[in-house]
Amino acid sequence: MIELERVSKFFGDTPAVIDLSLVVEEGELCCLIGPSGCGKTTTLKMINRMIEATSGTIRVGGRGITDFKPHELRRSMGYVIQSIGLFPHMTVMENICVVPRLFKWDRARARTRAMELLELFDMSPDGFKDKYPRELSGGQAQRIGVARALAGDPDILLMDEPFGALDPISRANLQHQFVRIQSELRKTVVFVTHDVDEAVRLGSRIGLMREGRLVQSDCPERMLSRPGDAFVERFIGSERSLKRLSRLRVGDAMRPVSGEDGTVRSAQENDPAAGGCRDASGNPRSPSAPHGRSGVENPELVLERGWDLRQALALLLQHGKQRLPVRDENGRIRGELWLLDLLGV
Amino acid sequence: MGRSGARLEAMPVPLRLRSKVLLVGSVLGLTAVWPLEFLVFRSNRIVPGEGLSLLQAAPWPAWLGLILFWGYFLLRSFAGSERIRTAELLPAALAPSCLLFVAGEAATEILARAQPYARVSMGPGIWVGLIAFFILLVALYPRTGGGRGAAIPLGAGGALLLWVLASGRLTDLSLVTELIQRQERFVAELVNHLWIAGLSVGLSTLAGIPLGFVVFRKAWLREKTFSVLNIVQTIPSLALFGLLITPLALLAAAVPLLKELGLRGIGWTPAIIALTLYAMLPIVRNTYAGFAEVEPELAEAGRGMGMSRAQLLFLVELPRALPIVLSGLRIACVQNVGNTAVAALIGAGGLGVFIFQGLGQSALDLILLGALPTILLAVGVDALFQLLIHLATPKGLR
Repeated sequence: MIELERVSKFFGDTPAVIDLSLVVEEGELCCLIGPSGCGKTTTLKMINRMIEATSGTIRVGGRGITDFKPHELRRSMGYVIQSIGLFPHMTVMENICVVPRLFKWDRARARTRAMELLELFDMSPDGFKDKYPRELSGGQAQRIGVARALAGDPDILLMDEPFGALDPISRANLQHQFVRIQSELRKTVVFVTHDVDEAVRLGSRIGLMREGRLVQSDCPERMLSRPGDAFVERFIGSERSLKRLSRLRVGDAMRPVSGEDGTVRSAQENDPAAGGCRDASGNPRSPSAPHGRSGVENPELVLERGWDLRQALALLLQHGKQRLPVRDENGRIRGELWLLDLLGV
Repeated sequence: MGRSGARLEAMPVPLRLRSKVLLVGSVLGLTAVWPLEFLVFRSNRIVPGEGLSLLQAAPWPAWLGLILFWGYFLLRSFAGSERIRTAELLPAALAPSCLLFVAGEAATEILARAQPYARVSMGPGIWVGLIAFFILLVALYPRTGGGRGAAIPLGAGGALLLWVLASGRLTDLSLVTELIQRQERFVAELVNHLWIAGLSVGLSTLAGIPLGFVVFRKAWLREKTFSVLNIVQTIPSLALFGLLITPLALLAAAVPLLKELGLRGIGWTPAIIALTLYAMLPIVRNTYAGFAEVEPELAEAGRGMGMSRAQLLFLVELPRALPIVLSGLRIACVQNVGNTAVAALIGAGGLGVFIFQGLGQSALDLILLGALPTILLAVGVDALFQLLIHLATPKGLR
């Protein structure tokens, strides 16, 4: 648990953060958003004392952070920055093992941990452990950046626009992967971003900042349905009903079907990032690797249960459909999603 | 061209320049055979010499052999396959030793018929010839494809050269005569030279690397430090040696203890001080540049992960900066090996001793006795540092 109590930071006479109070519960992912210069990064860096607060108290797990030596405090938290900062002279393995090394773990334990983390991020350990950072793509490098932050198994993860420098597709991939990993690991995360969509997709709580103050702190659904004032509403943007849809899964809104007869071939790759992807001529992508399904005919548009409703709505509209079948991860048809029902959620 | 027309069409052998380097080497080699003089004869060490061509100095097969040798490679730079065969590299590797051997034998023969104080020194033909052989090997080596096909001829060439140098066949060449007459002195001054250059770079490293680091951290010191070091660098070495004589002599006179410790206005002390100052600029500048090269996000990531100041320095900053710091040391070393030769003027010793003696006596061979080893030392130190820098550069940065 992270508690900030009436925290302020002044650079000279210029206020960066003013009288900010915020509690991030155990296992919560709190996104700090706001326009640039609103103090969100400063707030993040005060938690691991990269920046010292001018006044107020910050407690981590009930203990004031000034009770720790700065470098010991930081070792107990993972830290991910936008520019990643992988050490170019170290291999992927050595990069991940930095914090374990600082903790003086024995080599075997550190290596095992690194292998686990690579697997957790769907990177084959043997393919990647001996690579150097310059041999990685942006998305791969940032995955290693997050893996490195998790290496010491910290309870807390501080992330400063970690996916900001990536292209939209890698970003979506990483966001999805991160949601999955977070649902497994349940770290207490403070995540700084200026991207409302990212905050809505990832956060279990969103803190919106403006000119050094915390304007509203709420769960995403409430933030979207009941913005506290005109600024919040403006910042979240006119599409907030669409953004709310991105919080909900197809499985939550579909009408289930009983019976096992309706297996239909997927028209989509089983990849949420490519969800709703069309090729250049506007046709749905042909299935590249159908799995777990046999004897399937008549390729047709199918939704996947785990997609968010925003993707589903886009597909429905694009193809002028009133409804589309929904399959589960194994390709079995589990229900139907009706356009009409989306109006009601 | 005894081939059929069809064959000629299938495998045309156009005359086309294949290697400029090879062409330059061959032309230079031929120039060395003619018209440049092979040996220079003097009836004593001081008088102006009389040039002897290769044909005059040595038996004609040597002359013919060299003409054929260079003629072949001149032709080869226009025709034949791109690839150089072992059979072609081998004569090129052995030839320099043969040239020296022939020169040594010729000198012995000439001196047998001359007055006791007569000298035979190597003429421009030999020097240019040796340079031409070097260029030839540089041109040929990359076209051999490396591996054993290149290693065996080069190894054989090296072995033959060592044998010729050690065989005593060259003792009648004036340069070697000078060396033999001064053998002990030569070794002593060589060691002296290495000490002066090494010690000054060592002192400069001890002071310069920390200073470079401080300058990197403290921006306000940067400009002042570099302007002082730049001024030092612009003073000619001879002037700096001279400038140090008076203050050091006064200091030695005022503090007898220092005088007993060996502090003098001339000799080692001013040489070491001046050379240490000279080496500072490259070392400080490169240390600063090395640390400045470290991306700020690496420091932020390291700090954010909980590295202490020292861990950040040794785990992140130093490995990243080391190659650049080392290349500063390399510049300092090469520069000081050269400048140490000048320090002989203020009585510090070193290989410069022979250069200045030779200049005083207009004895070219004595000058070369000092100059050649100095050049070889500088080249050797440079190569050593290149290897070191390569080894010190982490694989991820190469």
